[in-house]
Amino acid sequence: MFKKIFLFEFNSWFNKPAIYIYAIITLGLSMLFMGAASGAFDGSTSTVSSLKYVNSPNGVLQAILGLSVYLFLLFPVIIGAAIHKDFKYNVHKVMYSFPFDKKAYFWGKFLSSISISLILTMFVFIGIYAGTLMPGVNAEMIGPHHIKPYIDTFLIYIFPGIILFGAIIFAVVTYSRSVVAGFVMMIAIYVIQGVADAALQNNDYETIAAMADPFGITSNIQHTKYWTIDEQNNNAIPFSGLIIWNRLLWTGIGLLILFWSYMTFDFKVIPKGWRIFNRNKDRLTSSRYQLASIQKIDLPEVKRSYGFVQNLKSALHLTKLDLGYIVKGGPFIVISVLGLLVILITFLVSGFMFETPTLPTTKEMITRAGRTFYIFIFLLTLVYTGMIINRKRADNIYQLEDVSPTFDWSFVVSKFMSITLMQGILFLIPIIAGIIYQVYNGYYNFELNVYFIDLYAIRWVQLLPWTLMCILIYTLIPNFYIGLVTTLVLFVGIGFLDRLGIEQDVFTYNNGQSVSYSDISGYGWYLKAFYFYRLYWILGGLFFAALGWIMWRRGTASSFKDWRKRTNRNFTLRSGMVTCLFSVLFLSMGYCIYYHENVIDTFLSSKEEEIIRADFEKKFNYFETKTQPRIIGVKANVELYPEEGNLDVTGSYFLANKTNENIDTLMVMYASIKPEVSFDRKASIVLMDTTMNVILWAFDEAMASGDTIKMEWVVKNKENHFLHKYSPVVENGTFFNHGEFPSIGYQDVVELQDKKTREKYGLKDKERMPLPTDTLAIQNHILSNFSDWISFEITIGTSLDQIAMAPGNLVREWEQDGRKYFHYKMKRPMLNFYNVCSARYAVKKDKWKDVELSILYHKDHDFNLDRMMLALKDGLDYYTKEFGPYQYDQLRILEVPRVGFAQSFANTVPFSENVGFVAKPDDGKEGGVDYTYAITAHELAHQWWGHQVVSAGTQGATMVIESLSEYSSLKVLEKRYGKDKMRKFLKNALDKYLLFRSTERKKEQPLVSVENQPYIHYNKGSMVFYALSDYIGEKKLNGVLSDYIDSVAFQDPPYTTSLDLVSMIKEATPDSFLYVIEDMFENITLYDNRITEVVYNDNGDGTYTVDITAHVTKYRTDEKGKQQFYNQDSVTTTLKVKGQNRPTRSFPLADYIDVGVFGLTKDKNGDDVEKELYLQKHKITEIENKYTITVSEEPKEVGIDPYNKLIDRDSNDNRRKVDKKGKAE
Amino acid sequence: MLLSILNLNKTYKNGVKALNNINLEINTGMFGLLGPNGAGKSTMMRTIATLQDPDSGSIHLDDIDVLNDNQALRRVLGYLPQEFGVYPGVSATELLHYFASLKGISSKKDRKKIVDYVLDITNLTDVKRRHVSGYSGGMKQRFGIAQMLLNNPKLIIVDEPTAGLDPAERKRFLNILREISQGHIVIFSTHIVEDVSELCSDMAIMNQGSILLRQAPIEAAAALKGKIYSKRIEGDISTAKLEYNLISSSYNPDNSMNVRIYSESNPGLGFTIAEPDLEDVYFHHLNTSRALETV
Repeated sequence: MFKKIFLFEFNSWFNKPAIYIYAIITLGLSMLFMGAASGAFDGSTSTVSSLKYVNSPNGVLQAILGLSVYLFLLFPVIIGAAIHKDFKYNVHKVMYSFPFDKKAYFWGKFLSSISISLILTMFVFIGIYAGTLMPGVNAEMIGPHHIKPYIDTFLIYIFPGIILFGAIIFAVVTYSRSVVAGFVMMIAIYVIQGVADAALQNNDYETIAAMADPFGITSNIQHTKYWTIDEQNNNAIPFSGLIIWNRLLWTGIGLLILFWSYMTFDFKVIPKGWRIFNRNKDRLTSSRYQLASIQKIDLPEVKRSYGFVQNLKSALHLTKLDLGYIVKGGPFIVISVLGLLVILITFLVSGFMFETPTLPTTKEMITRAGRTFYIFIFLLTLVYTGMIINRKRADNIYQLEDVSPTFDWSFVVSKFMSITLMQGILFLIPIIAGIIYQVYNGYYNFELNVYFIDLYAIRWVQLLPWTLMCILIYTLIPNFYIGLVTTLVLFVGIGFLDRLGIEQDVFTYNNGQSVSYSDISGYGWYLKAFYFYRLYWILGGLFFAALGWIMWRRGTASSFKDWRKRTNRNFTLRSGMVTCLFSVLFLSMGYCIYYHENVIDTFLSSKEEEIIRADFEKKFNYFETKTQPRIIGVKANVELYPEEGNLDVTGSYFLANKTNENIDTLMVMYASIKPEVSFDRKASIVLMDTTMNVILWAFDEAMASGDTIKMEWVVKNKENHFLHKYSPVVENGTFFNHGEFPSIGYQDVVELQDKKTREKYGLKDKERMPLPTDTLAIQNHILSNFSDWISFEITIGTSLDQIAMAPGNLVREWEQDGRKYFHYKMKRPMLNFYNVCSARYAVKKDKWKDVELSILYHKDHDFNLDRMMLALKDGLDYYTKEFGPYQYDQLRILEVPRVGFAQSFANTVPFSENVGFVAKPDDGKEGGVDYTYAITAHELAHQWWGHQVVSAGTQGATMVIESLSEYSSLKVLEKRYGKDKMRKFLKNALDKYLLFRSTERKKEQPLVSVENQPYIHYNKGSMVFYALSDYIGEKKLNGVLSDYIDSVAFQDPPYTTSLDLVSMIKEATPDSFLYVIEDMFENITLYDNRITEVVYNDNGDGTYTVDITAHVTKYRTDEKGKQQFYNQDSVTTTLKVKGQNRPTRSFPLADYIDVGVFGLTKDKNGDDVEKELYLQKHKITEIENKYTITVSEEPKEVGIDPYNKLIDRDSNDNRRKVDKKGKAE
Repeated sequence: MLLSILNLNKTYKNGVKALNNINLEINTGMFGLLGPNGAGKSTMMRTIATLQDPDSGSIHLDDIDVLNDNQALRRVLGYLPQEFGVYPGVSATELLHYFASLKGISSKKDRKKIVDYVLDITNLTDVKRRHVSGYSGGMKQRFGIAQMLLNNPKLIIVDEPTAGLDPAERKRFLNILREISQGHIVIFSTHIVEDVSELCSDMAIMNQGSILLRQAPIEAAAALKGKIYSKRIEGDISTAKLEYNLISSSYNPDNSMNVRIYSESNPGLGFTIAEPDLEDVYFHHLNTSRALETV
């Protein structure tokens, strides 16, 4: 019997076209995806390149799982429908009364549909493999092919996943009799996965996140997140630790659900029920019915109308029924509640920086909730549109509806309204969740208008084109399942378009101009463009919906012929006019966009951009070594027009020929606005290239050595149009820098970076940065290659209610012609590196000694001003004492919108609204790092490291500027907040370093030759300098830094490099610690330190003896992260560990590492705090080390490198708790 | 009022000829469409009800060109399909208000008036707040009538409405139909002969997409007068089948059989002349058409 049912079900799939369609789509998408990732479409779009193999074991896994996510959405169709079709065609009443064997029926149905799912999944595997074989792929990104990753992926993830999701959907559909419930369940599972993914960002929830993901992918990401490029390319798919537990948990849950549904499965005709409001379930019969008797029928006279208004009313009536059906349905209620929970969890686990939460401002709530929730509502839109369009047929009411004198459009409109209203209801959920979270945090400034505008005026509007498109798709495709798959494929496919070279928004459905909210600048200037695009796509949607209207299915069209006939008849003058109107409007708006993007502006595809960059290098590279004059002074009159978004600058550069050669040609480059240039000596343009933004000038009379000339220029943006603003000026919160103004000489930032891409255009591979020993390169500093120290003066005009600011001291401030003007002048030479800011600022002022401190902020963002002031004062105290005097008499912080960073200019620090102004630091023991304070101190430190000492533009430059600023701020932070917060900061730095080195695109450099790689100069840099200060002492290190400033501050070329600093440090370092510099600065070295055993003994005399066994190993890695355990003059240290096949290896050790014993004590509030009982550096030469340490208080915890000063892949096993009995825990 | 059907043809994808050049004129009153399952009755009804398009032909109701002006017909149409469902979880009142709105009744007051009235005559007032999806077969059929009446239809089409109804429900149902046929056209299809004989002033017999007979029931029976003979026989009827034009046979309670045959003249052999009824008409014409087909 089982075999019969199984084979019947299994074979029935192959009689229908659906399975073949699904298979082709699956195969096609998988191939496209993998082909695109391997660079198969490089011919039509920008070059794809990476150090990682796309088909590395874990790469295969992630590709397959990523695509299976879409495939799993088909499961309700395959697995759910297997059981549902018996209900749908009412076969179940007959079937269930047959003497069927439950076992045969249940397993026959389940296993046959599982088999179909497995077959479909195989197409993902084939597609992924085939994708890497496509013509044109980048051979460097294809590693050796192995079958094992595919088998591992199948066994560890795909097969258990199919069982789990199969079981869940089988159960849900059996009990709810609704395939929609199956879909909603699947969406719910995605949502859970999404939360797990979000939670993974927060290290505190890492374990829960890894376990909570039903797909298991999160556990894999958690396990492999520190994998270096080398490990990613070569390691097998991991199956250990949390991955095993995750897989066991979810496979177990799957089997349990399966077992449970089997046990409770019953051939009952009445379903268990899924609707939550079950008012009347029982069948009704009426016994009071009189026997046959003749009755007079005299229908009351009523007024009937068949016009537009009545049809609209009918549409509303149906909307009420459809919406009621959706909203009162179990799936909707379940998903709404789940959605609410999910958003709340997202709020709880996300938004942390350095473990410090962000204030729950409404802006924060909408940005965090919006993203996840939008896609969730989008998926529900796809499902429910199909549902309600097919409903009249599924419920067999269409014969009653369709013979009514209601126009087709009335039905179309009602379907649209139902879905739109459903979305409207769902958008309330993030608002409710946001307010709940705000109240929970005691934040009562709800800003309901911000909520409503973002969710309704922005996101809701953004959904309309898809809602309209779905109407057409479900009209064209009467089969709900195939219709749903079509909408999904369309959505996914559109996302692929840019990989195939279709990059313009005007050709990509529902794309174009996104906007986001900022407290300071609102949605900004581009809101207009946003709505223009929305209107464009809504008209497109209306056109599609109008086609849907013409082809609307009514009655029993039994064949395509009938349907076409009906469509022909429906294509009347009226419907034709409406369709034409929409299409004409749609196309004209589209043309308008196209015209503005391609004719008025020049649209550059990513491929064209690549070509221009390559051509630029070929054409102008010879200029790189040509001598050019250098800027010695800048004077500018900047007119900002915030309301219009316009910029009008007249500026002068004072240029000097500092070389011994004559200069007859000047190369002027610009970023976006072409400057009008003139000189105070005769010159003419010899070349102007407006695609590469280059102008070459020839002087009639060459500049002789020592000559100075004045170059005057006007930078004025061209007229803005509705799609583009050509200036960086915004209505409130303008912030731009010198980059908007012309530059002199060849700028190599334009050059292509990636090796493969360069090769493609016939360019030789090039180092990202020159070596510090390059004598030519050290003639320029890192921030500019056409200036040294300059004089600076600027006047800024802005709106009457704004304050404008740039580096320098305020000379004068006045009003003129209804505008406000500020004149700044710098008292001493500074770098050619400055900003212009303007906004409606509130100002907080303070003083440190003679230095005026001010913070210019958005009036509502006054939460952390005192912390910032404190950081400035603490920083000034420390830096002036340890390094040297502060060179200015003012320091100003300016809050700026959107950007996620702070940037230090001379005496002026623009500081993003997102990084500190809205932080909510907790100074308690549990709280995270006060990053507002830390960032402020870091930016202040740049006034020394950057604005006094500026390194040459070579490898290692950012070590001098960034790592030293990071170190300086760390010391200030430590003085203010203590070692506990320090440890949190360092742990975070370690995590970031390990995480981002795994995404390196070229090569990981040692710190001393860092190539502007943030994970190295910030994260590793802060750790290394902190460790160094620990080894040689803070005083000694600061002494070196102070000497360094004395010797190189404000120097003229050649500029200092990281090598100078390192050699000064070496001089101050005792020989025994020289290895630290070699390891940490000159190489990439990682430790693996852990406590393996600890036992303690109560000696009875108030002392305790602790026996500790600690393992210490270290290794170096190459630029891709390949481990090395020896160098040319050493041999590997090894240790044979019981139970391990291979001995543990280590780079030869002669290292000094902290060994610590910790007890507990009470702080002044009576809370338990850790107390250091013993902390000593021990010299370590072997892997295994045993220590016997006597302490005078009861030990609680021991550790090797307990403060995580060293770079260690697993920082959690450095400490170990000791239990009371004296045994190791 | 006159419904005229001209040269109506419909062939399905699978080759079945559901309507084979149908020509029919139907006047005010009850019109019965009699035929076995699969005769093409439902196709014809759906075609008149604008649910389906024929391959060729035309339909007119007075001056309404049905096939080209669906909406005009729908305004005066009442249609009760053979089988229908309803939206789950919606009460009778709610659903009737919805249909009333679809049928153009704009004011809420008017809708309430007419909904209450149709609920009353179909005796659903007591259960009007209950979900229609939970109704029994008979109640659902009454709900079908209720919704059909909402627009005071001039042309009423009911497709096999009495199948599955108990005798009392059936009786009541036919009475209502009869009542509303005053001054209107009611076309109703059935394969139960009594339905037609009890009610219809006019009828057609249909099989395999063709009209076999178009006559008033009384006249049709009268036409067979003197040509129907019956006999009570014991045992095997196979001889009777072979020798006579057998119309019907039925068992008596004592296991003997009654056979009725069609014969131009008295066949003797114990056959007695019988009074022809509509059933004889029905079977006779079906047999004739089958015989023709075999030839």
